Amino acid sequence: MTETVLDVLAGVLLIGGALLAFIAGLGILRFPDLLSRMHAATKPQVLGLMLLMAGLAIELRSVTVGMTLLLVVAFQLVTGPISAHMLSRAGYRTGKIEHSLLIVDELTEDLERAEKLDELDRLEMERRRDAEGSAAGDTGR
Amino acid sequence: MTAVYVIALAILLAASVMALARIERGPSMFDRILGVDVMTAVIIGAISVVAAATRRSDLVPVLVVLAIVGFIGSVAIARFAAAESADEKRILTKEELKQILAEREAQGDDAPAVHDADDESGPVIVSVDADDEADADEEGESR
Repeated sequence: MTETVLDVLAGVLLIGGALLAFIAGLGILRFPDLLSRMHAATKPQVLGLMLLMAGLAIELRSVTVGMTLLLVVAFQLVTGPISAHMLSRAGYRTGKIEHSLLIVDELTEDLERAEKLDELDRLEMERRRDAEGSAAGDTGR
Repeated sequence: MTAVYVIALAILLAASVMALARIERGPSMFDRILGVDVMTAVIIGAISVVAAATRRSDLVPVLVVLAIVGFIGSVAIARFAAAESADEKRILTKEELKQILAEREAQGDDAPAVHDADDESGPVIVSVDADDEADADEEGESR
């Protein structure tokens, strides 16, 4: 009885994980730009992996294996955001992001603001240097 | 139970075909990396289904290794991605390729080097590292 229940549970989890991978495949094939494709691509990397590992652990019925599979999920959770961050950042900086498709674009606003502040800083420093130069000139005379 | 494994593997196969289609189509390098990432996830899934079907717990270390090293390729490519101009990005037509190859043939081995090491008009490497931001800005990099 319990065997059957566990088998069914494992089967449902495995098929659920596989379906999430399928959804990711559909997403990266049909979505229009890099960022929305990245959104679709994370599905099998996190939830899909969790479901598959849970299904496998139930199917193998071993605590040791379950712990190792937990480790797999942990590693994927650590490394997934790294590659996603690097990918989106590199995509943004090489101009692969379509700005018209974005609803919120805080990075561009931030960069523009930083540029403005930089310009203000530069002007301020120039002004100070000029003032010091004229002061030094006064004492020299 | 066998039916479940077959169905799961079939779904994963369909997913991998779609990821492969994205890798082939691009259009940019990053879309291809994304396809490879999904492919890694699908491979991890397929291995776990096979391990469940055959009850082999010796396949579990393979899953650990794939989860650890699966991201290195995409990080490496993203780190060294260069901004390419529209002209370089384009795929050459057959005539253009023939012309370039013919020029190379005509060059001869003893001819002086074509590339000047001091010439800086080559592709600009765009830094994606926060520490290099100042350098990148000096190079007049386009955002």
